[in-house]
Amino acid sequence: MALSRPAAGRFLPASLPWRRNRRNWSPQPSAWVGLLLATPFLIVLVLYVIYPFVRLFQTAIGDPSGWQNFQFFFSNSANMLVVQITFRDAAIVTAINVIAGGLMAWALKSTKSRIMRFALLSSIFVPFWMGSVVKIYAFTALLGRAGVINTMLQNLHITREPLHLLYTQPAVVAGMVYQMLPIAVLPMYVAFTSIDTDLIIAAEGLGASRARALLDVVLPLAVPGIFATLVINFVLALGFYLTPVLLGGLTSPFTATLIQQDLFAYSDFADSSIGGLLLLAGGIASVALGYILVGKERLRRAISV
Amino acid sequence: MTPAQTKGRTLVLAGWGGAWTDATKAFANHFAQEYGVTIQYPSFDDPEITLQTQEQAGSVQMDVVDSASWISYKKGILAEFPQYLQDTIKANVDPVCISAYFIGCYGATADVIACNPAIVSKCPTNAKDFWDVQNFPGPRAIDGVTPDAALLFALLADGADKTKLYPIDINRAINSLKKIKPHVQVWTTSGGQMQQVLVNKEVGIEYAWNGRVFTTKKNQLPNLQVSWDDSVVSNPTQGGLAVAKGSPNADLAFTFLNWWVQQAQYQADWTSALTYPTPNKKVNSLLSADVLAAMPFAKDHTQPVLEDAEWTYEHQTEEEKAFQTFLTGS
Repeated sequence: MALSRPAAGRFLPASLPWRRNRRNWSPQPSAWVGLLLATPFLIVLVLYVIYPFVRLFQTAIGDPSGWQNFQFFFSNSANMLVVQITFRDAAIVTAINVIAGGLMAWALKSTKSRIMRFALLSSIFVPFWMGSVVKIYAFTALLGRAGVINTMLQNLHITREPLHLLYTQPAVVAGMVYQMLPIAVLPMYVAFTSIDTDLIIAAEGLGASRARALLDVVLPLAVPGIFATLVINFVLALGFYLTPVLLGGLTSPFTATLIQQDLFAYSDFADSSIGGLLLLAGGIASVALGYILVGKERLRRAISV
Repeated sequence: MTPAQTKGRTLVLAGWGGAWTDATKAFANHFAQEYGVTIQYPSFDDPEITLQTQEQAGSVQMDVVDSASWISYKKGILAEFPQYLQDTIKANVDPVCISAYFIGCYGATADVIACNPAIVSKCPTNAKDFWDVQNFPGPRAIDGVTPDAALLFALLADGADKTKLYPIDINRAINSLKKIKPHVQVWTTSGGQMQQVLVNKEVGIEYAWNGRVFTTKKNQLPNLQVSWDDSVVSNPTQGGLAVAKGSPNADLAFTFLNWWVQQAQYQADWTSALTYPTPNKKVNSLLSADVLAAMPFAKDHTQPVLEDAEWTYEHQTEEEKAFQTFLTGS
């Protein structure tokens, strides 16, 4: 062969005269440039995320008893009850939201009616734009003894005495579901829009029933989106503070309430730091679980298409 | 210090917010004008906890603590008064109210039984009735801001001797509380909530701070019935107006306290707004009959049980955690 092969991976032969004395230009910036561009962000990250986290950890194992602080925290039955309530209520809220939000998201995707679409969208977005304090006080007006629900039930002669609705666990769950529903609908809607509904027709054409088609064809495609929603909702629900305080009161505290009390009522810094670390660990664990179950790529695609 | 020396300076007066801070503001503004001082009024859920945090962080940013408790005094975060201030205090207040670290007999708060006859058919007047849900049916609320009042109230309901409540038998108190828990709709977490649950008709019977009950009765529910039987009150000699140790303007803060303790009329105005006592000897002669009757140590109602902050200081963690476990448990 008379022709010499060009060096692998080069667009232009290095021997061209006008290129001879220059370094190779690459459309990718070098690692140094990348680092330089990221520096402001990294500084912020170190200052406002990593440093506080280290301090949090130091406080948790600091005064009064070092590592034993953890032992005291976990041997305290009040603390453990609060942590249990937090995780249990967060799980209930997440389950309700994923089911209700999933149905809403699917309805939003599949409806042809403009009115239905408008009704769904406004019922998702209007509460989303309201302040959370306003939303919670709306619930106290609904659930109170002299509130809307009790008055209605009594006027319809369904109940004789007003029901005890406000300042209970179900009130907290109801308030949280209402506040987080948009956060459940939106990522699932995004995930569902990428599902081709013609697949259902195709499956039915091949003899599947509608239920079978939804279960075997649509559901597997929707799983990453659903899991992503589960993780987002659960992690957010874990950290709720205002809703348990205002709708649940002292009898149904969340870990965030515990942290607040430890800090501002007992000035017990170690206990409150451990509470914070626990929430953080719960959040990280659920994100990790989501990664393992659906895979990072599918998870990321599901929420950022 | 004289007004000529204080002119242009700033004083930080840390308080509890709400009606309390409003009343203090109306009071202290006279000082601000007279002495040419700017006063800032940051408010906190509990100013002394904030002081403790600031102290730990090595940067105390408040001067006057309005007001501090026995706990702060025991923790050593209050400044000792200079001699001239101690002399002025001695000349103006009862000997029982005197301390070198705070002006006592200020802001003592009692828990009383409030009852709205519009919601319940019969009003309980003591702890036993409060627990008797058969004869006194109706939704209830109990003060949950700190456990002390609830525990003492529970012991009284259980038939404990009024004079032998201390040391508090926490187990007995909690067991007594467990009996009433299903009928308690709300364990209030703030003075504001105490008023809110009455006004919203969330509860008809409530164990709550006398000042909040007084305000609610005056402004929203004129038919509210108040019973002082089995009331408990924070000890007026265990805490009061104080100056933060390490305060950047301690000299000015002492000047303010020196002025404050002499102002009988302004103290009477403060007390009239909140029905909490102020220490100047002349205050009582300046108060109206209905305010006097609504105060914790009025002669014409049952005297409340005195809380012992020394016991609370020693058993705080144990008490708080037992109460929290009780509230959270089913």
